Amino acid sequence: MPILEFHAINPLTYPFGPMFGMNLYVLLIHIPIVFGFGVAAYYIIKYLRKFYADRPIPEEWRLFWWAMVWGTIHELIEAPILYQWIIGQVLLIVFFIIQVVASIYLIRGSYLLAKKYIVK
Amino acid sequence: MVVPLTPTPEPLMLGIEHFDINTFMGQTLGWLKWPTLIGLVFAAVAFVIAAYFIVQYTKGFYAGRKIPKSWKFILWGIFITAIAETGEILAFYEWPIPGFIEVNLLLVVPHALGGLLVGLGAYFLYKEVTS
Repeated sequence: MPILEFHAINPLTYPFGPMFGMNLYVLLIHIPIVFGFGVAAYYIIKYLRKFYADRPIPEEWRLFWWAMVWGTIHELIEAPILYQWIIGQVLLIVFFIIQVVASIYLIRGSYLLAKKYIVK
Repeated sequence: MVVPLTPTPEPLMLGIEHFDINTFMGQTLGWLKWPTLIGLVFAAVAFVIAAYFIVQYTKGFYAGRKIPKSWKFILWGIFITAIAETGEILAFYEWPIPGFIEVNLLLVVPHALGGLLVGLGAYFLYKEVTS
């Protein structure tokens, strides 16, 4: 695997070559994939600012919001991987770090939410 | 070097025979074999664990009351994304000959649906405190 390579690949001709409809389908379906978690991060911070107003936001909610932010970064990096716009060891190392950080935030945030209200 | 999809004479429903943890998107991994596998598996497991804790949270917080659609959407979104992360492992390691089921039913569609549900759930959460 190369250290780092960049490729200008047209999403309308990839990954299914001349099958334009399939390429368009894969491209369009990336809209909810990439923006879903981003929208979640946006509305969760708006919700927290509204709900807690001047009070401090509890740690479990801060971590859950960060999980959504890192989830967005996680989904964002998958697009250049799938489209092979970027190939290489550097990308995989960055991908690994993002996955681990996003996963830790997601587990910790949801764990603390559950811990606070867990059914005894 | 870009590794494009390899066309097969007939559409391949399952590509599990092409699964190889030594390659990622058709590129030989070398020393990155284990970090890549650990990262991918950890992400999939994290979504399953998060779904479990969110169930516990909603059960505890709403304690017998009706769980609002915001949390139902977020929970299903997280759970379906766990399926997508599993499909991702299969598709990335089967490339350039992944199966139709892995790419569509386990990767692309659940990823889109999961993202959509999490986003909508968070939107409803915000609407619940503003309306």
